Amino acid sequence: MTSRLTALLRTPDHRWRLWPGVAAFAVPAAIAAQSTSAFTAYQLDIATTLLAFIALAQAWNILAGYAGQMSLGASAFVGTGAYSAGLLEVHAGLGYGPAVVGAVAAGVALSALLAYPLLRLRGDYFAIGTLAAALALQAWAVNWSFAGGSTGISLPAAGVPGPVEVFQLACAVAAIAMIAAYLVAHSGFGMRLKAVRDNEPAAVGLGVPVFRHRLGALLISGGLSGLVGALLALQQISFEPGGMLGLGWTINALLMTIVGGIGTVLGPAVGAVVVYYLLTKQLESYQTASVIIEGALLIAIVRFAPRGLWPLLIRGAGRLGTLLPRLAHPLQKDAP
Amino acid sequence: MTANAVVNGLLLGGLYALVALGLSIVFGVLRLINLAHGEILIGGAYLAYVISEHLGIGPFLALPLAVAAVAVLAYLVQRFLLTGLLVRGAEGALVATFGISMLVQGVFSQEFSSTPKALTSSLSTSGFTVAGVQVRGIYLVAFLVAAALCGAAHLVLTRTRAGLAVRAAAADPATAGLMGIDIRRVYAVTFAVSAAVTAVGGVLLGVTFSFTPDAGIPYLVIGIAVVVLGGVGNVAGTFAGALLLGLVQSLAAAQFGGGYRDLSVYLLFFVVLAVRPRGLFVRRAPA
Repeated sequence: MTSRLTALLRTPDHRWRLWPGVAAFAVPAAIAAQSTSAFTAYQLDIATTLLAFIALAQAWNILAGYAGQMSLGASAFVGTGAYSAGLLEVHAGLGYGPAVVGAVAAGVALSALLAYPLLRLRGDYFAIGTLAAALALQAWAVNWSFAGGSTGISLPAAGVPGPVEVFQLACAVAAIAMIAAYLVAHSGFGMRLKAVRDNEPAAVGLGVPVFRHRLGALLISGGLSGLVGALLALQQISFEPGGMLGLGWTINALLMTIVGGIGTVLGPAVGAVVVYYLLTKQLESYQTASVIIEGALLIAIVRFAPRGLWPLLIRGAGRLGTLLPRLAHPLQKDAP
Repeated sequence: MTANAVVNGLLLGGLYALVALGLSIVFGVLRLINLAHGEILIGGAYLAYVISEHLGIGPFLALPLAVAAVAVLAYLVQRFLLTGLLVRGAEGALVATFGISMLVQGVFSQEFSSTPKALTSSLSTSGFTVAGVQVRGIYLVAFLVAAALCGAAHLVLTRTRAGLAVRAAAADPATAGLMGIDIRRVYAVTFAVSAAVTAVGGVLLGVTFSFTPDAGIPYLVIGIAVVVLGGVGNVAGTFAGALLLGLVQSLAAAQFGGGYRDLSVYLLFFVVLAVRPRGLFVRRAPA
């Protein structure tokens, strides 16, 4: 039954085909990007932030979920992207197109720089090393007068697109992140990455070059986070180290991915909607309460549903799917 | 001026030893980086603040009460949350401590707002001058307490039956369990004692500097830097690493200005991770 339903979506050897997944992300993104006139500026801003969070959570998911490298340095990559874009616009006089490309390059470069001291070590050193990198970059940006010191950067008016263009860019960024996650999840590279995560000695024994795969995941994640940083810079127009290099990005990326479902393609998107739209946004005027609730939610998820909400929903739906036919035909209950 | 920076840096290092000791023991025994470590530290300071406000006593009289409360809370958290997660793997427990960190920070901001608080004691302002070097009284007290606690931890771990059980649990939990050591209890007691030591550090820190709800994270990184310098679970190494870190920080601030105080810590941390990831004071790689 299920096999006949999904036959079109699978290859002859029962692996999932790539195009339905790509279409599933690209079509809604394209529709949303075209129907901007239906939204007010405020709604566009919220949607842009949500899409940025989806992309950021996905970037974190590729590193933490698929490569098993728990990073606490998401803010370092976001801030590097935002500052690179900002500095390129302010000091090099570039438009926002090249600035965005520069931000991606900066995110990749930071990943490469951090890979040498951090990737060779046990996983928990990686977590704490990325945290130190994030704090170090923040402390540096505060002292760096070229980048505006503690008052930060304001983008020149010529380098800032309108809210509609920023929203369309956000759609593209989120789509790129989702497609990247899909490719990582279903490619040979992703399979080997998961093998390294689940059983490193076995993966080494089968000839998987561990360092190169982790480095690949880190570079992809860093480039995506840099892209998100550039998007946030264009959205916020002016920013300072406290916000753009602050731990908030790290907390949100981790929270959204783990709440939604770490190591799944759709989980981070679900988590971003739950955490940003259903929690942070609704509790906007009670900020401490929302931090307390989010912390409690994180503990509860880790304790009681470590795979996250999305797999929980899927499993619930699957159970319902097997339960309902049984209820309809109670006599066949014991049939094999 | 340099003598001033060296002496005060070493004394500040004593305070950092108190910040790092609990973290080092938990990392060494439970194989867990406790991301809520900074909040335990600041929690000790806030509890001492509340107790001294309510009972009208000085921070040093409030210290035993605050430390006991932190230890009991830590025991419960370890016993009923973290141990169960540690069995499944280090990642879940790591994320859980991150959740605890967020939750506790939220509670601090709710209760105490974000205005800086400080524990007031005559020690925090008094000081003396030896051979042209100005020393704050609290720095010296913190240094002596740190030296005493590190010495005590070293003796307990190496010379007592309880310490033997803890070292056995750290080396090989499964075999230690087969030998009749109750791993869950060892973990919970280790976590509670580490939290108590950390709370002592927090109270002394609160007398030395002012603190805010989010002050814990930088101290967590200082603690981790000390642990990395000194080697995981190595008490003597932790003390030496803390002194070195305090010295580097103080000299960097004297040389390049106060803005580089924190940056020097992070840079040192990266250099050591890149060059000697097992710590500066370890001769042989542990098996």
